[in-house]
Amino acid sequence: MFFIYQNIFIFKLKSLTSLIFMPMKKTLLFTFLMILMGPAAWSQDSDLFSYDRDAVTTALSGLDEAEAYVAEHPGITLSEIRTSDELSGTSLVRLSPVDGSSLAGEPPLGIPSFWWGCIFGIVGIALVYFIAEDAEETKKALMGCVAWTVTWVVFSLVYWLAVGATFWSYY
Amino acid sequence: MIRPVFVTILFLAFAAGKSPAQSFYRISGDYVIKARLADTTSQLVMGKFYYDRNIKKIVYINSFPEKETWVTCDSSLYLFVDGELIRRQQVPPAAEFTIFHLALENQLDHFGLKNTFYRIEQVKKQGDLVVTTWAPHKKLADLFGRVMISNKNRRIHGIVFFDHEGELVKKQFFENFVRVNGLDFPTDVVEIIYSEGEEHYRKTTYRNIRVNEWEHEDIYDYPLPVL
Repeated sequence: MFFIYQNIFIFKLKSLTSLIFMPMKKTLLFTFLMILMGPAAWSQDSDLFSYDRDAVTTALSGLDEAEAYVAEHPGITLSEIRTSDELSGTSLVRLSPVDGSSLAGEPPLGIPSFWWGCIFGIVGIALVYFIAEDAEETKKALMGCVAWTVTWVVFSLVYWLAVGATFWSYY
Repeated sequence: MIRPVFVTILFLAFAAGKSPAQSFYRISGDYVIKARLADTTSQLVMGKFYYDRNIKKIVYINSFPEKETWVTCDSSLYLFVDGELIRRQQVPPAAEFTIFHLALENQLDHFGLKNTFYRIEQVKKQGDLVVTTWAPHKKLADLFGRVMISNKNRRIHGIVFFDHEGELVKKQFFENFVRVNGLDFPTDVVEIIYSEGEEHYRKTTYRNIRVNEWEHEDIYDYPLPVL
C-alpha cells in the first residue's frame, strides 16, 4: 500500500515538476531566442538609420576643398574657373554645372510629379475614392476635411466678431 | 457683460496667435550643396535661400557655380540672371514638403505625412530612436512605397524611402540642429541615394539662419512674370 502511495506521490511530484519547469523551460528558451534574435532584428532596422560617415566624407572631400577655394575668392564662377589657365589642372574644372532640378531636389517620397497635386486636400480625397474604391476611407477623409473647415470658419467668425465689437465699443 | 466676453475671446485669440506652432512664418540663410552624382561628376552650389510659408516661393540666390536666381512657385521653376527671366521649367509642386516649410510648420517630425494618404503602420522604440513606419493606402501600394521616419529627442533624425516594390531608394539624415528665435533647424542634411546598386551622396549645409526677419521683402515675394 505504501509502495502504491509512494509511486503516486512520485508520479504527482514528477507531474508537478513538469508543470513548474516545462513552462519555465519554454520561457527560458523563448527568452534565449529573443536575446539572440532581438539584436539581429534591432540591428537590421538600426542599420537603416545609420550611414558610413567616412564614405560620405571621402566622396565629398574634393568638394570641401572647392568650397574653401570659392569662399576665399568671392564672386568667382565656374565659367571663370574653366577658362582660367591657372586652375586648368585642378579638380575645380571638373565640377558640373547645375540646373534647377538640383535645387528643387528629387520629388519627395519618390512620388512621381504627376501625383503631386493630388496627395492631400480635396483632390487627395478624390484620389482615394477613384483609385482606392473604398467608400469608408473616402468618407473618413471627407469628414476630416469638413470638420476642420467648419472649426476654422467658426473660430475665425468669433475672432473677427470680437475684434469688431471691441473696436466699435470705443466709438 | 458682453464686452468682457469679447475682450476675453480677443485675448485668447491673440495668445493663440503667439503660440510657438504659429509664430514661424519666414526663414532664410546661407546654404552649400555638395553632391557626388551617379555619373561620378561632382556639384558644388553656394548661395542664399529665402522662404515665406504664406507666399510659398522658394528663392535661391546662387553665387556659385554661376550668379543666378532660381525661384520655385507652384509647379514652376524660374531661372533669372541679372533680373531677367532666362528659363522656366516644370517641377513637382512640393513647397509644403521642403525642409523650410516643414520646419516653419513644426511638421518635420512626421515630414508632413500626416496630411496625406499615408498612415502610420507601426511605431517602435529602438534605443534612443522612435521609428515610425508610414504606409500608403493599401490600394495605392502599387504606386507608392513605405517611408520610415526616426526621431531622436523629439527631433527628426532620419528618413528612409522605399519604392513600391520595397527597394531602398534614399536615406536622409538631419544633423547638428540649431535653435534660432525658438525654431529648431538642422544645419546639415545628408542624403544617400541608392541607384543600380551604388550609393551616391549629397550634403546640404545651412548657415546664418534667420527666422521671421522683416528685411528682404522683395526677395521673399520675388516678382514673377505673368505668362
